[in-house]
Amino acid sequence: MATATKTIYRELKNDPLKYYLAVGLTGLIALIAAAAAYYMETNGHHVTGMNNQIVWGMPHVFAVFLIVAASGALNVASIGSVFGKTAYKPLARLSGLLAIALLAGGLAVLVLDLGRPDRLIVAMTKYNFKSIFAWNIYLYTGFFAIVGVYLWMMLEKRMNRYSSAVGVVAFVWRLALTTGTGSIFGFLVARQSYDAAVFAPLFIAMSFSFGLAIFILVLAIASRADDRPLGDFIVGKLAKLLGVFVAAVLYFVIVQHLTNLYATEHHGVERFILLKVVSSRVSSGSDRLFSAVSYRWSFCFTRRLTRRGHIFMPQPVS
Amino acid sequence: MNIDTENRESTNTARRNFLAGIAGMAGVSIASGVTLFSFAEAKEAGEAVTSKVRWGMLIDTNKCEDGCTKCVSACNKENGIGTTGRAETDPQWIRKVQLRDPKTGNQTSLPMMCQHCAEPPCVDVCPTGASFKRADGIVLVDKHSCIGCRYCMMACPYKARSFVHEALEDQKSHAPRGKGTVESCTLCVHRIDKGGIPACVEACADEAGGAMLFGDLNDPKSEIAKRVAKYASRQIRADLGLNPGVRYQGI
Repeated sequence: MATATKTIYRELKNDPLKYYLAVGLTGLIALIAAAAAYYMETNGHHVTGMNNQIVWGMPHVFAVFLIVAASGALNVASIGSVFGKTAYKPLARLSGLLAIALLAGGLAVLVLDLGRPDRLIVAMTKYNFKSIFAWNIYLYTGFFAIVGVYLWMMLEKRMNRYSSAVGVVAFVWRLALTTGTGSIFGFLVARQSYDAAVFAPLFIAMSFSFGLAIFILVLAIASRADDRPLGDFIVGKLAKLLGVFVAAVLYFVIVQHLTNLYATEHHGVERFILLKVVSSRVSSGSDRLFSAVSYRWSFCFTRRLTRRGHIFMPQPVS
Repeated sequence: MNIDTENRESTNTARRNFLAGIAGMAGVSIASGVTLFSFAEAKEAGEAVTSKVRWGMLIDTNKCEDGCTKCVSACNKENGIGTTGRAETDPQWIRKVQLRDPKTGNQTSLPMMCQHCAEPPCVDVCPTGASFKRADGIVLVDKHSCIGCRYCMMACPYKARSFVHEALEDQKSHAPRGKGTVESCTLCVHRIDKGGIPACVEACADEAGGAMLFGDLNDPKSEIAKRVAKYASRQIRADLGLNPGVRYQGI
């Protein structure tokens, strides 16, 4: 590749049909999401599958997925700015924009899943700095601000020379953000299936893979819709990169489970997660008090008791 | 002059010590069976709680009968907790837990509620500080600043907290609750502050086996302090080092 390559950015073709189709489709998705949020708000959180055992349910899966993917979507820009790979530079703007969009989407789900989303102002004004959630509020808003500035540096020609420096800051910040998100789970000492330092790097690896996957999908659809072939070079590069990231996730997942499988105290929880058919109900339901004691919980609880010299073993009341 | 003052002072101190000694001895001899709740009564309305007191509970599982839910119904009645019609989302400030050892077949029944930890993880993780611990060891939720994120429910090793899914009616004025916020056992703080005991403890003593004992763990003269000093008791998940205020005997 020549050293004096100059990237020429051109806007998408003026095709009203495709444009309105894209706006309409995304608008429809947003409308369905708003209806779902309204449904949950009026009927109660139990409609999401939440109960006394499953505290963070389906909405959190989407929220955390999108938040993690957001920091990963920024990777393509980072590869260009931080690691100086010029081939990726033309894609950096899309990468930054997608990162902001994904984070906004994830946070929207997260906030709407709060019991009192109307009290968001309380979360913004009252902080308990021992809470990782509180740290994350700063990490998320900081991410918006930094990626916003990063986009500005990339989009404004006069500012282009600062884009590398801001890119480095954004890269470091995104690592911190994903570490923070992973630590929400990794620091949960009460939950045996979490409670592991490996969650931070695992989340970083996951963000690399999820974010790049979404980036590739959006890029492929956009270039197809605009009749602008990507070329085998960049597609091959991105595919290989995604393969490496997926392998990294697999590596951390294997490490997590191998560590647990080695320690006898975790055998129970591993058997539960990897082999058992999950059922949150324990009893026949005739006694609602007992049915509220999850098999999973009693398992964790009794494993610890076992370790402490007690001999109780869990037994689902049938 | 100086010498004179010193002499006078030393004389006065001796008399004071004597009087204090007499008073102390009288106090100890009268107090033994009576002082169980007197320290709570000593607190006047509006007076701040103090860390000199550490409210706690001792539960003797040998006296806790399998299938008995008197403590649960008493709690529900006291705090105005009703059913949602779905067992798995019903609030559970206190619930009965059944343990069975498959190797021996031995079964234990015990009440499980907020353990009022000295180092509560729910307080650590709460982003807004809505989850808090009073100076006297009672862990509570400030319903005005709880945003309903449920991080505390995730962090609690005892699954002691529940979430209000639907709008509520007919609440008790002493136990405010609200849709979208998290709640748990308050140790009947409204009773304690008036010198009373938690509703579950009262019900267990009046209608069941009297398996629950409530009192001030910091007061060496209290029944609970004497019992935990004399007999072996256990904090559940003691390995986490949270120092719960609720202890169990017989597990």
